[in-house]
Amino acid sequence: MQKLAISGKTASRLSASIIASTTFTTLVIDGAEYMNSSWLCLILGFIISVPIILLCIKIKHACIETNRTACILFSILFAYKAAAVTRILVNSVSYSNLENVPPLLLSALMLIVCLYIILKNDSGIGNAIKTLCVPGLLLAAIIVISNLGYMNYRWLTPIISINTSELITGSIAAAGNISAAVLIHIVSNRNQLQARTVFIGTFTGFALGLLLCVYSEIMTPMQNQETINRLRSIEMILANGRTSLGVQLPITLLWFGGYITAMASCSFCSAIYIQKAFVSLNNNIAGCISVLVSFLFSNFALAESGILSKVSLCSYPVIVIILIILVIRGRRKTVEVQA
Amino acid sequence: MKYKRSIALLCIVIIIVLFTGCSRTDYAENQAYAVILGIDIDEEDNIIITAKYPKLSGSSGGASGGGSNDSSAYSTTGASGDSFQQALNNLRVITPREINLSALTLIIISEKAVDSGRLYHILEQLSANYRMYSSAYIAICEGEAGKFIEKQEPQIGSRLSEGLKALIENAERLGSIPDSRMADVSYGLDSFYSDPIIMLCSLKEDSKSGNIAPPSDNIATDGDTLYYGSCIIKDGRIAVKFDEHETVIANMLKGDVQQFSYTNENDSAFISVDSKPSIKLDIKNDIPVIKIKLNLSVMVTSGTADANTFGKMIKSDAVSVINECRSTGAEPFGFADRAAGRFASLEKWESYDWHTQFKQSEFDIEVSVTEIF
Repeated sequence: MQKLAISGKTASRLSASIIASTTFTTLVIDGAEYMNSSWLCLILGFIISVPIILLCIKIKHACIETNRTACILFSILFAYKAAAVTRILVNSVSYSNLENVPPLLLSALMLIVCLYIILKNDSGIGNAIKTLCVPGLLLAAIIVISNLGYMNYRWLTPIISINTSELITGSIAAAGNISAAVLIHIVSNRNQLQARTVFIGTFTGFALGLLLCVYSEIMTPMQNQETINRLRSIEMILANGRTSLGVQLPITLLWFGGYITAMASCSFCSAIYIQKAFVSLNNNIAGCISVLVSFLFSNFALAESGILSKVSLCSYPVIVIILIILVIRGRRKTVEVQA
Repeated sequence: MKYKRSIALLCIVIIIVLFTGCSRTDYAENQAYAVILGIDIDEEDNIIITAKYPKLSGSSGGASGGGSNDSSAYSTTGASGDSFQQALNNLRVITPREINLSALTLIIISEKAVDSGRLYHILEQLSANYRMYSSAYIAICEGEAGKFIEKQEPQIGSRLSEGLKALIENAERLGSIPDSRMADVSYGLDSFYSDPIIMLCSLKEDSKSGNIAPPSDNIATDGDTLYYGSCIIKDGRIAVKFDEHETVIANMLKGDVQQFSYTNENDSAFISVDSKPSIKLDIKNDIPVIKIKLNLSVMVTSGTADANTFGKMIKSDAVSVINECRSTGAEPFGFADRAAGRFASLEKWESYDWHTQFKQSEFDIEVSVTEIF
């Protein structure tokens, strides 16, 4: 039986897709408190997560397979990320004039699509991302060019929106999202894995996330009101009030295309870690478990913005600790083998 | 095998398309696409909403773009309520079809409604509406918005919405009205930066600027309705009103107008703004100093004044416009965006209290003129 596997190149694409979508969700859609400094939080978050990237490269492939607890934790983390993306997608659909669609059915349908992609293994997810790459860049270019006249770079200031504590919180949340996405490289094909591939994937995701953050902030001034609900956040980004109706199509295509790809990427990563934890499981069962866990997370309000921001904050230190333990264990084993 | 897959894919696509019939369908016949929305306030502080939407039986009517100026092609319905949402709900009840705001072109709010301090509340509730088109133009009516809407008729050969857009865009190009969109105004009312500026409108008979007949070149007119000048909103209320001439100058200072015609008594010229105004702020001292440099090309069209004289006149007008704003602390020119960049955090920016600082600021306006023939 062919197990779920992922090539270095696909892992790189997957991590880019997850970083862009999750950082944007945490810092912009759910992060009204970061106001227009989410771009700065992301830059700082990327700098903080560099040691994690280096740790991931250091970890031996065999080491992760022997550590079931780490694998289960990582699979839950990815399933949770998939649930958070599902929740955003469901909300976006209701925003897009389909308010009569039951969220339960909608999330189930989207996760079935993810299951199909998981079962197609590396080629499925790899092609899904590849399909979005070129049209996605083209759509992004159309959106940016058609809105050039409405952009005001001065709205990115004052740089530290509210205070430095918010900036630190945002940076750690961003680092949590980046480091979680980098974990996919640990289970990729080690023969193909090079530090360069990891850095390219991470940096692409970071650059895309930064573009999204800057785009959404450069178009709307900082708002004085205390609470901006999610619908308003989405409206400010999607409709913006100034974006012409003609640009709505590329924005909507990119929005849904990007999020569905990110959801599939997270589900795939979750499934692959489940299979690493329980080697005897076949692809179908691993995929079903991953999708089911995401479904439960998304429909029991566990992936709502408040909990998600706390999870993003905690995930960074947790991942750091787990990775350090894995590196130390890996070294011990190497020493034992040499002895 | 290949064919089987293609057929399966085709079947899936067809089934997906058929799924669209499973949800509630919004037929065009069921919708009342509001083109203009008017918001008034009555003596008892109730909000009155008036909507103008195309009739289904509008012959070849303005509504269908068939080229009629038949006023019966549009219906006007009004309803009132304690709050904006209540009034809108009442309007939905009495309108024979479902009110749809996705094709809204213009929102008219009466001056009285703005002066009641409920502008932000109205826009907030309006933007929360399903399918609201937030790029709709917004104007403040010096009179009753409901009456204004009734008088707003389509022009021969065009739909009301297209006619309105053409009229407003033309006036914007000339600089006599600002580019005031609902989302911009709503964000501006609540932003940390400059204050929003909204176009003014009125019925010819209601115009407070006197009997404007015939209208001047810079006034956009559409039958009985006039679109001219602007007002600046500060703390949710009208702080300053500009006539069309002052609005041109304000638009020039904001960098929103490229070309305009300038008239002073018997002298007139065509002015071209060569580059966006260069604005430099010095906020190190107790009193902020704002340096503005304007690069203009002047083509004298009539009169005895030369290009330099026009430069001086424009400078004097710019000083007068800024002083008028400074007296109230309202600042629509975008200086706040620039000043905010000098502060690290919002806390520091807010404690600087830009509006108070702007009141006591000093100006240095330099106008560089090139004569063109």
